[in-house]
Amino acid sequence: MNDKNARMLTLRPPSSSTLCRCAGRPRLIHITVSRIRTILRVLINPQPMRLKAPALVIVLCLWAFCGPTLPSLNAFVLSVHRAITTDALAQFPPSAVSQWERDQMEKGANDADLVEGGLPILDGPYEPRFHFDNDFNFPAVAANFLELSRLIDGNLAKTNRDPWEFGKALHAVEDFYSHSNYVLLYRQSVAKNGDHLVGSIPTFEEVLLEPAKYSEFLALLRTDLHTGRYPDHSKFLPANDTDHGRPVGPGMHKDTLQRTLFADARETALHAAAWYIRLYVRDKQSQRDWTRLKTIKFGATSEGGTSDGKH
Amino acid sequence: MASTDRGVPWTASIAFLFFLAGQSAAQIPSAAAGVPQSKERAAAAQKLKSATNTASAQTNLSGRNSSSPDVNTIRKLLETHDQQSTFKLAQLIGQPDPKNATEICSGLGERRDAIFVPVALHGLELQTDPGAQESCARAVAKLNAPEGFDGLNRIALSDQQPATARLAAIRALARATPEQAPSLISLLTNSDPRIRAAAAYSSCQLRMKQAIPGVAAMAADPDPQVRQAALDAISLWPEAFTQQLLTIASNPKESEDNRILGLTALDAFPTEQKTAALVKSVSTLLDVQQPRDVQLASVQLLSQVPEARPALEQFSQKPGVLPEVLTQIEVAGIEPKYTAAEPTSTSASGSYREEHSDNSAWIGVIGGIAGGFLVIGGNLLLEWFKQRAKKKRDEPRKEILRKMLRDERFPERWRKLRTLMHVIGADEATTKRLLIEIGARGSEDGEDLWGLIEDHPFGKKD
Repeated sequence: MNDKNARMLTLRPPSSSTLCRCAGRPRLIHITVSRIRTILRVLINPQPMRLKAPALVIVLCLWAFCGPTLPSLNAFVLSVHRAITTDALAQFPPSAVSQWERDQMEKGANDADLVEGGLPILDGPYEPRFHFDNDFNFPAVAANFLELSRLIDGNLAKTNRDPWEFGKALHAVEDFYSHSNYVLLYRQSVAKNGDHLVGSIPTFEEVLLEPAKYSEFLALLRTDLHTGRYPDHSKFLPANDTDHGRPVGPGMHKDTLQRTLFADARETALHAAAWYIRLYVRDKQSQRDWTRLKTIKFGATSEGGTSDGKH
Repeated sequence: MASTDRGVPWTASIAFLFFLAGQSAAQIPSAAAGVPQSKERAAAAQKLKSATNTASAQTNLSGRNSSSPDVNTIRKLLETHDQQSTFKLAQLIGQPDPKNATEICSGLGERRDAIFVPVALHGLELQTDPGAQESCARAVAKLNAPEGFDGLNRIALSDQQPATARLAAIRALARATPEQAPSLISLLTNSDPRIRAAAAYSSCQLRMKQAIPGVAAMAADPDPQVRQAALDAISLWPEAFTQQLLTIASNPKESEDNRILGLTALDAFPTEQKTAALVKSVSTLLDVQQPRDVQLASVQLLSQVPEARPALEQFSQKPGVLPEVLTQIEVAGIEPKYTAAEPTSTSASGSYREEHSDNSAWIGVIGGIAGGFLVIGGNLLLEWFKQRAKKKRDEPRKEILRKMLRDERFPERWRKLRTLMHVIGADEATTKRLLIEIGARGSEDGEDLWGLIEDHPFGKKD
């Protein structure tokens, strides 16, 4: 079992040994709590200035690199998640999904941010797989989908339906299109053939189920698909093209309205959410497709490819 | 599809209280003391107590320590809907192992049987691990019983409970109905910002009308973290906070991130709810003086509202509109009639790289330079302090060496290096360095003797 499996969808308290979320700065991260305590002791106690000054310099340097910046929500804005889920559910009649189930699913889709989103003020747990963060290649993305499939299967197997938890799975699926370069790659794939009229973008599941139809795009996905790094590689430097990024500025997310591919990501997320709700209502064709997707491990094993899914 | 509410059977309640009494007198709820013990109830409690003992014995006979049962034992207990298993679960959930509590609560939540409510609440109050607390609170909510939500309200309001348990209870209350979660309203004014934030999230999930003033007040809080939390909460129910969202979006003093989040939340309204007042307010943001992203978001929001078309047409004719903004207007089906300003981005494709403005690049460069200077400056400063400390350390040794080289008992003013080394307690290299630094030199006849140059100037035969 790899590390990712070991942490399968569990709530984790924030690590006390981590000074701050300065990804990509291992030297700073590895400053242990005991060293910080020593520095603080030197600063507080009546030591000679020659001892205090270097400690002061270290503290100032740390502050400069890991200084207090306000982290932001790392997903489609909550209202967007709710709107996507509501719109996807609108495609199903009340006989298939009751009003109570709709309400629960919408709230559950938001709950993934409220409980597992590491909201700054609450300093709560953060579960990257509910947000498709830090999947740096195709195998990692496929592994994330595979783990999600276990959660969904567990949910669908329950005697009493649990739309709230299913909504959480929808949150993850929706975030995939916002946090990855999927829609961008599709545009590139279409543009390569001289066609700039993209139309609606197929979902990841549709592409995997029809590999012949989307062979070029699938090949591009296998080489270039990735999701963003969260938290960003640095709190001090601006985000780069592999970072999730803040609402405004560089970064690869499409969570907010002004982003170039926001509409594409939102629309594709909507199609994907509706695809998964068909599973929830036990649509026979969707169930067959679902089994096939799990058999090919979401693209990780088709065409002879294998993956350990490690990030 | 909601499960029907069921009351906890009185035998289970009494038995559970009896169990608590046996475990710790201090943990008995005060109400329990007043429960009349009829013969029948006492007998039931006694029967359940002996059943608990039997369950413990059976667990021990199965070859496992009762304090750390395996997952299968827990699952078996969960599958058995009787007082005996309830007892055993209550006993296990109070033990310090958070894994057991999490496993039990995950299972309890799925039972949808109100008989387990006291067990899950017991776990929430006794566990100290935040993950286990979250599982217990979630289980209470999933059991969907009025007494469970009453318990969550009680824990959420209690100052005696640890903050993590209160936060878990507040989050779980999001699964209640608004009527079942009255505590959330008063918690919006709690002194702890985390409690306020969690109450705002849950009350907005539940769309509690009484929460609107409290959450709106949080949106104007001077603390940026509280404002951020309020904005996230508002995003859960944007229709109730149109005015606050418009204020945030149009406030030039607000961070650009928050302004964009505000506009994105407003965009999530269904088209029919995008009123004339909203369109008018957002139209004021169609201004070349506004930040680029605010302009883009405003155009994107208005482009889906037919009533906003004149405002967009008017804006497209203004001088200085950025090319990317004009492109956005063009996508909405409006032909721009004015020559665009110079682009802010050199990227031409539709990639997310377009989001990077020159400003960001400059910030990056300046940040890099500043960071570099900071690191170099820090190192230089550290080195300077090190040298200074070293000099101070050497000074007493130099003083001793000077005294020894001027010692009147040695009229020739030559001293053996070995003696000098021994007296100052330093090795040969250090001693020689210090001697050179105080102006001494070695003798020229090959002997290991040292003296001050002022006493032995060069040119004089030694």
